[in-house]
Amino acid sequence: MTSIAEREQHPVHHGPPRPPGGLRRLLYPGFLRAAWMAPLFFGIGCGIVVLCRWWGGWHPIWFGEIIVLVGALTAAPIGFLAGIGAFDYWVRYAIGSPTQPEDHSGHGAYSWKDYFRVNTDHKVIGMQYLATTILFFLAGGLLAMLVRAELAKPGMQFFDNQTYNGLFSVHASLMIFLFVIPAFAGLANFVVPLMLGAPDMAFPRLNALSFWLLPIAGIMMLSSFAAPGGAFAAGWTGYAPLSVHQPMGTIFFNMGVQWAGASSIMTALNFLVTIITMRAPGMTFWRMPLLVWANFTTSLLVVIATPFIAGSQFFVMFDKVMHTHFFDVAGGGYPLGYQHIFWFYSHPAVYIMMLPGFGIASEVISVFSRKPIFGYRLMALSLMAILVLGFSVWAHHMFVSGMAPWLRVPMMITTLMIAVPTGIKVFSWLATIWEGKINFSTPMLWAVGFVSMFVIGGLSGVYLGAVPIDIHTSDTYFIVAHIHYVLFGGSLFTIFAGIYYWFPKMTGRQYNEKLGKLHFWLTFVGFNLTFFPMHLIGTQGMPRRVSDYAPQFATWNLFISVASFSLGASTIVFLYNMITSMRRGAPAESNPWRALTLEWQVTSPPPIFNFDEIPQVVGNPYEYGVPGARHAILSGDRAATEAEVRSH
Amino acid sequence: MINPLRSEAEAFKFLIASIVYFGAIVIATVAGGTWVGLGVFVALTAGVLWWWWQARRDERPAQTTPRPHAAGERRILVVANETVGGHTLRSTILEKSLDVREEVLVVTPALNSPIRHWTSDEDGARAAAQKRLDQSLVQLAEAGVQARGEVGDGDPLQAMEDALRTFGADEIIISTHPEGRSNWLERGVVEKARERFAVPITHVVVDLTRENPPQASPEP
Amino acid sequence: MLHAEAHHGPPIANQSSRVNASILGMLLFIASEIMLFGAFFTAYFFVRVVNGIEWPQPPFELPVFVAGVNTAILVTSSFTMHWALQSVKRGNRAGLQAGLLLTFLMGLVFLLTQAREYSRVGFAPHDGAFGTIFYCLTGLHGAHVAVGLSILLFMTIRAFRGHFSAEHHHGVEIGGIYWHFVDVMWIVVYSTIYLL
Repeated sequence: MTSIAEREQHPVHHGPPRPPGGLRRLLYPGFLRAAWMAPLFFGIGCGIVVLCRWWGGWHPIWFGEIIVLVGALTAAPIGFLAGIGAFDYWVRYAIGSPTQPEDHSGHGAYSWKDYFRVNTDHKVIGMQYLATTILFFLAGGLLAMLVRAELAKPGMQFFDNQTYNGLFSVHASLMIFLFVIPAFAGLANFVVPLMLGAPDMAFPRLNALSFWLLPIAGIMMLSSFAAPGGAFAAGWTGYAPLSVHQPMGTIFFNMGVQWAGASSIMTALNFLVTIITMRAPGMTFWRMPLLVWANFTTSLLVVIATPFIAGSQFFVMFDKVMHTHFFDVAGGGYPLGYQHIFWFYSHPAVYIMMLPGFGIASEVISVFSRKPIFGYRLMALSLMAILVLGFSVWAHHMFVSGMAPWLRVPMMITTLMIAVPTGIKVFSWLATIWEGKINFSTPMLWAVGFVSMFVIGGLSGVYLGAVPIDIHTSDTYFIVAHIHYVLFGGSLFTIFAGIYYWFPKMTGRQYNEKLGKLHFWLTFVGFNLTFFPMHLIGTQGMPRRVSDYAPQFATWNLFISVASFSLGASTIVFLYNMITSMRRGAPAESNPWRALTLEWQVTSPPPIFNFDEIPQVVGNPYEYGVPGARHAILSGDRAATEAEVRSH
Repeated sequence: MINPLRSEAEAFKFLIASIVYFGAIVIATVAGGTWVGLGVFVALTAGVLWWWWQARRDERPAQTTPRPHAAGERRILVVANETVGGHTLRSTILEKSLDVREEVLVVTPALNSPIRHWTSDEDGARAAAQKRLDQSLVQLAEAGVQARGEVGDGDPLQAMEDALRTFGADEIIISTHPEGRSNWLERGVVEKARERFAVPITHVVVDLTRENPPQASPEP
Repeated sequence: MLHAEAHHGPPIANQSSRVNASILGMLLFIASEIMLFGAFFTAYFFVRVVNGIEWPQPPFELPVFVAGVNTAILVTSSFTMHWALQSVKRGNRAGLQAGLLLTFLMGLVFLLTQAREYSRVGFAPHDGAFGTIFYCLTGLHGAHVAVGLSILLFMTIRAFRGHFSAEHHHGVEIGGIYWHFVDVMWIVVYSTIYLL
């Protein structure tokens, strides 16, 4: 958005041309046009299904599952995207219309309305991602509260088993596909082009399309609750053959994953091309900030691994809807194949959910300790090592699946090996903080909290990597504890760190520091009280994904449920802080944290096209405390004297 | 060059290569059985990997031009490690700055051992480079050249590029030990600099043992 | 000043690599599609190698010869695609149009032949894991051919509308790379499903 002062002084209309009045408004890209194009495409999809089934002689012709699949879950979203204008440029290109000269009218945000349309500005898209993912975070969190409400006491109080299973399945799916992965994508979308000294991403229109795929995926997953038979209920892992024999809700998950996966792959592709081809002059790979390295490796993971989950969900869908035999033993299928194919993505997925967080932690820890990152090159290399090793460990999710026994020990070895590059990173953060001039502002609290909580989660992961321990604790609450320590204490803490750190840059206002600290401490305490005891009951034998449990676990479950409600309540502090600070926070300067990376060398919020002139990079991005060190020179600088950032 | 990375023509060659690859495997399997086919597959794959490894090419960076500076002055960038004290170098600088208001910047790259480079342990290298730099500036001042100095990146080429961006030199003087004693010459620093930078580059060879008689302490 | 600079557009990004951005984007997209085929081939591996079913599974048979002719057609279409590109690089507009049209037509013949074989092959996707893998793997490829045909159609339309030239033929280049990928994928699918 423009700065507050400028908007008040220049109330001129910018942005895309005003939509025409009257009926022609229906043809203008936007929600109004989407409102009739989505149903139209739904109708076309249904029509195709009916035609094919009639011609093939398959009865019943109006087969609900396929109608829903093709019409509602495939065609209607395409209609929606067409309606809001995500495809407009490409359609004109494809039919050979003369291309219009780019006047950048679709670029940037001049008012709040610009955030609700197809916008090619990476900064706007980043904010769109963050707002959307936070909404799905709240939805997923609410589902978690419902799960804990049911588990507070033994016996079934509120839900039946199938509905309960739907609650935790949708909870996990929303958190993974609609919150953690896209929130990191959103933060990176905003920050990475600025850090690289680029005016935008390599493919801005593709970027806009990637964002709009996300609400489609989320609505699909949530609307599975309305499907006959209820929400998909086989866990976010959706193992075959159980998921194949579930009610219709399961195809909402199958398709939702496809839409979210497509969004993820497009964004990753964009990041890779941007990082490779659009770095500022003088920015070699070894002068990129670690957030850029982290997003580079994450994007490689996404591009290579995500198609495997797409494949696994296609197979389940085909087995269910077309009665194929991918996972059906009687027909010659191989059920364990689902797990191999699924986990081949889903293990790298956990690195997709963590590596950008590592990047954020490096940025925040370095700036708030006023010290260069310890061992920068090895930090970058360890990211690459995690990328490579991450593909070799998937079967550690399958130690008790009945797979070939000889596979277990090699997978155990590779799993334990991943602790090495991860450990390099943890020690490096500690060494960065060591003897630094530490500023415990909210971002730093989250970053340090992340390091400690991730170590706990990582340790439980090391134990789980050992086959004998995993045999005992597999599918128990020990696993639930582990995943939440790494995903909540790891990913979520770094997402919060990033949001607080870049809040001034994104909004032009400062958040309330006291509320930020309060948010951190409430969350930190509530989180540990909720999830630490799960290690205990897990090893004592309480299974996961159960709606009821043996009476001996009752006390701990009640304790955990109460703690989880307090954890949920801490989110209110966060929301209140974000909303009030965005509207009434103190205006922020361009570089409130006195950081060296390029995004802090422009105004808060940044100008529409980021830079007047592409900066020139002449040094490392972390030379805090090194006298005379510069990361970059921006336009208007005279050589070596003016406007260099003092690095004290 | 069959790297499908660059253009459609290369993608087409990749297609032909794939046809040959799969054709050979299929023919071998059909004619000789599974093991023969497997053997051909392994051999061909190894061959492809070896060929790809050999054929990778370096990307050459675009030429860097210096930032413009005020008219009426000549900026000289001197890049030297241990040889700034050399008489030859001093006289070259003086020669080039006759009759012109000159600004001389001496950049000493913070050279580092490979292990310390990869573990980002730069402090020692920076401190040592700073000492060498200070010494050089003193010696240049004694010879009548007023110069500024900076410790540069550990890679001499990168240090030059950074100085071109910040200092905007009109020319570069690279000073090295003679052939045989110069690490930089062995790594082709001067040739690469000439390829990479759009300014005139003078290479000055300084033989410190000849300039300073043996009883003076030799450079470490 | 925000107001002023909003009118003169973004600064031109620095090109930090000699690889062209759109070509790199297409290559990465192809990489992800290769991985998608990889997932389907993994299922094929589980069914054929791990489960060890007979291939082709009796009493069904695969139309190896027809598919072989189809392979020849698809490979030829890659040659015409390459010819189209070489033509436009030399400024030969007629060559470009003819090449693209031929490529499109041959691709269409390939797809329609495959569809016809589907109806004549005598088994369906639900006829055991063999039917499943055959239809899904060739079907996945067919879907990619369909996408490729759409891209070819757009390129042909634009070529006939006079859009490409010796200097500006990027759209044809990128579509060409995609088409060659579709062809390479077919070689792999044909070799593994029909021949081996």
